[in-house]
Amino acid sequence: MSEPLLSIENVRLEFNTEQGTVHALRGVDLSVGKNEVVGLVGESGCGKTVLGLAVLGLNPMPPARLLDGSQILFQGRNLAELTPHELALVRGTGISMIFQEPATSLNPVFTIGDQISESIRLRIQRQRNEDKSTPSSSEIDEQVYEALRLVRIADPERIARRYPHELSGGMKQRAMIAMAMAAKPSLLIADEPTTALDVTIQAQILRLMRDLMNEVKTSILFITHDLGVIAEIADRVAVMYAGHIVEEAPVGQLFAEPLHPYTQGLLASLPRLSDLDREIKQLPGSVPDAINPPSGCSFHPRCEFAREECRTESPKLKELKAGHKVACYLY
Amino acid sequence: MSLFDKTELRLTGVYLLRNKLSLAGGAIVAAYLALTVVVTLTGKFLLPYDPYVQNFAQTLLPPNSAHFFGTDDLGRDIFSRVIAGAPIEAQIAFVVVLISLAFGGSLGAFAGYLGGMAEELLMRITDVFLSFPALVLAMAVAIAIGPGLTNSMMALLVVWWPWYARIARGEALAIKNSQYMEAAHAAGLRDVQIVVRHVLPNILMPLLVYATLDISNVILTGSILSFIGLGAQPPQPEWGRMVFDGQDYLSGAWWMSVLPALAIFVVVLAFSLFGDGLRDAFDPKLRRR
Amino acid sequence: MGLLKFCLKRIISIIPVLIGVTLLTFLISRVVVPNPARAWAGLKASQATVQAIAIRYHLHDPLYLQYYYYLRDLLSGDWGTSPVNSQPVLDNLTAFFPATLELAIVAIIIAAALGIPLGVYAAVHQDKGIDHAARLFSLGTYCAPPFLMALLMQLIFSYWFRILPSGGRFSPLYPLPHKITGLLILDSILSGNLQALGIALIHISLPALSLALLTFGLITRLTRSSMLEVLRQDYVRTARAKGLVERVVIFKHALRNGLTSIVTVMALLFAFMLSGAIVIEYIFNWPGIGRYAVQSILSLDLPAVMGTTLVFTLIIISVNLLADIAYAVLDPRIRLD
Repeated sequence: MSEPLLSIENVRLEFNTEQGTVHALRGVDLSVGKNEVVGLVGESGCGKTVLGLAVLGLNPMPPARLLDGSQILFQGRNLAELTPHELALVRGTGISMIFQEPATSLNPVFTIGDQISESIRLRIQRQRNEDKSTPSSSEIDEQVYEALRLVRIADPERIARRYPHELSGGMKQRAMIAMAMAAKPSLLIADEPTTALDVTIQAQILRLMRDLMNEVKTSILFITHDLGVIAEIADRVAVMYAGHIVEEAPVGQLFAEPLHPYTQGLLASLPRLSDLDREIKQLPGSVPDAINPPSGCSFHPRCEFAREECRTESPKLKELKAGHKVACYLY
Repeated sequence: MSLFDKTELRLTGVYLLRNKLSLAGGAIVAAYLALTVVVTLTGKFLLPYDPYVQNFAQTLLPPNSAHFFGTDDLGRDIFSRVIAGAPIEAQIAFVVVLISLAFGGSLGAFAGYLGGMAEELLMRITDVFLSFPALVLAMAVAIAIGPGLTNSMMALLVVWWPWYARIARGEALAIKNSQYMEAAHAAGLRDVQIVVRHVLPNILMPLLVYATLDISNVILTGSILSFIGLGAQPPQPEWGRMVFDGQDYLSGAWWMSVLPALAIFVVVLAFSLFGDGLRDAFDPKLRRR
Repeated sequence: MGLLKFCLKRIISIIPVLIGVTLLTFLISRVVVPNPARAWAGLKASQATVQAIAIRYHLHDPLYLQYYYYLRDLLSGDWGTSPVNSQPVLDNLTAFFPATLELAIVAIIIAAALGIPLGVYAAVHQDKGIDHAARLFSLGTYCAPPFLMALLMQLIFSYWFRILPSGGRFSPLYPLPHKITGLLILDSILSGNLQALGIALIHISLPALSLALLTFGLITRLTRSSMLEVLRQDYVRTARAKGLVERVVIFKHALRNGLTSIVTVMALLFAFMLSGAIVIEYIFNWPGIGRYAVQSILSLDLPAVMGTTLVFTLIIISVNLLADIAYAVLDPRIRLD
């Protein structure tokens, strides 16, 4: 296995709130390789969005705090230890991110073209080659149109002049992707990009992202709560629960042979057209309180296989078979 | 939906206590109001000097141990006059704000709840009133009806009521569409009863918070009115008027103008700080739960 | 909808307000006043003059007819004659207007130059020492009565340190610059008259500074709260995620959005400033419509007072309109209707 693009090791992050300290990430290990789509799946509140933001240092840092020992390795540097200014240099051209709500994530007072050209100018500025020629504005415009064509927008000249509120939800999301890709990042973090869209548009965007990955060779860390989306787009999947990764496997393997009781519960609760008589099992209990998480394995209160050791110490991720890791005392 | 829910008050109190500036403001407000009451009740009795007595041997004395704020061009003790004038500001502020609140608030509540022509009419009328800068309109009305303390209060009333009407209307609109209004309707209550018994009590809180902040605005505008001569007439020791009278002596006896002006400033600042804190305390977004 | 159509719609919508405003001033000057004929003629006028005034202004006609004549007079430029200086009120107003305009412009420039950066800084460093200091300072200046500011300035800089004049717009010892716009600073620059420029600047500094200090607190507060709101928005996070430096994120992406609400509140600010200008012009003997208003009140000149009331209100209404249009220019979402 070649060296991973992004390596997240033992990342722990806390939030200080009036009600107490929220332990959002409690020792997360995850890696994303070149040319792959890694899906990060979990229920809301498990910390998946926080993890995505933590990679780029986008969690507001006064209430949030990355604990010592957290390592976010990218291109030979630990992002957790960079100053805000150094981190800004990684964002956009190294790692880029798109968000769930394109309506509020695009700046309403600038045109789409303006916002995309910002990313392009940034990339050019950072590339600083021997020929220090600054491209003309028409050259930048051409690149803006190219970026829009990349996301399958048919009439880029017209769309570039539009403001975000003049576009539909699907178009806005494409524009966001175009903006993120225009800086030519090695890794794209996508935080629930299709959740706010209709199902049909959702499918289009997923197909688009899949094609983009093949064309441009950018890796994607795809964060979502929707297992169906994961099945469509991911190569590998990591399942997150209460600030931990509990299982990680190639996508086919995960669906065929889920090992962790939580993953099993998740899959069992999905309705399936092919098996309409199957009883839908619901996971008992609810997502644990992030301020006072359960001792030992966070899942033990809801787990039917819970044993004594599950209550005392949190299990570590162990690789059981090739590429399939799980954190559970059953194995 | 009790107005005086104990938990609300406790949280408000805790919040206010944590906010030191608001607390300081509140302390000054309390002291000022206490002073007002004392002076109103005891008159000249507790003052070091009679605020109306002139003494031509002691004109324009700088602040010293005998006269804390110095004396004016007629030999009167400025400190006594400032203290004696304290109730005037309070009187103007409270009368104007309370009547505007009652009158404007009720109008707004009715208009907001009833909707249709009534609401439209109220909005147009308040639009017109609110197009005038407050001071300018107050000046125009005051000069039309003549100077004097009561007249200046009336002029301020004319200018001030539309704000409360607008706020009340907004709040009434918000409540109007809530479900328990439908319940009241379904229970057969007539419109008037609904407004009086349900709408008014619920909009009272936000109106009161606004009113506390507004007191400082009224005092400011009122002091300018009296500065121009449209307020209480001499020899009444109204602060704004005292500032005006001292202008001619500014280079030689600055204390005549500056000290009463500072008194206005301190009172206005105190009410603003306290009102700010009160408003923050009632704002659910800012409050900690 | 296009910007032009939006502007036209807004302009048309103020017509009912204008009618209402003139109606109110009419009512105050004819109905609220106990004896309009005498008030209009002046307290010292003879009985004959009072009669003549009553006839000229149709004071014996029914009210709706009086209002018609009143509107007709207003629109044709007859805003009454001041019994104090026997001049048409409108002439007085147009003569004094440029001075107030100049003072207002300079004051707003100073206030914005101080207030907006301070507001942005306070918002970015929320709840730290600077934020608290900025909030206290801006509240303090907002609460200070305008005469306090003006008198302290006069006291300190004119009487104690003697470095700036205590009043007036220009020195009587020197010739005025060639009149092009009526704004002395602009005229001095346009005609290359450096001496006049210096004199004009020295004279405007204290009144403009007093006025600016009065309003800068409000600008700081508004900028701060609007920036706080904007900094919470998702698109600010996106801007950071793109790799933009913090300075660009705040001053390009955030401030640009914050400006829209600052602009709309500028209109509120203008009203606040005009009220302060009235007192400040009087104290510094600045020959503008504010001082004219005070002098008219002191001499019980009713036509002049009503004239200034109308003019101030028209100014405010125009400024509100401009602010609405500026908002539409700055925020493309508003143009949809």
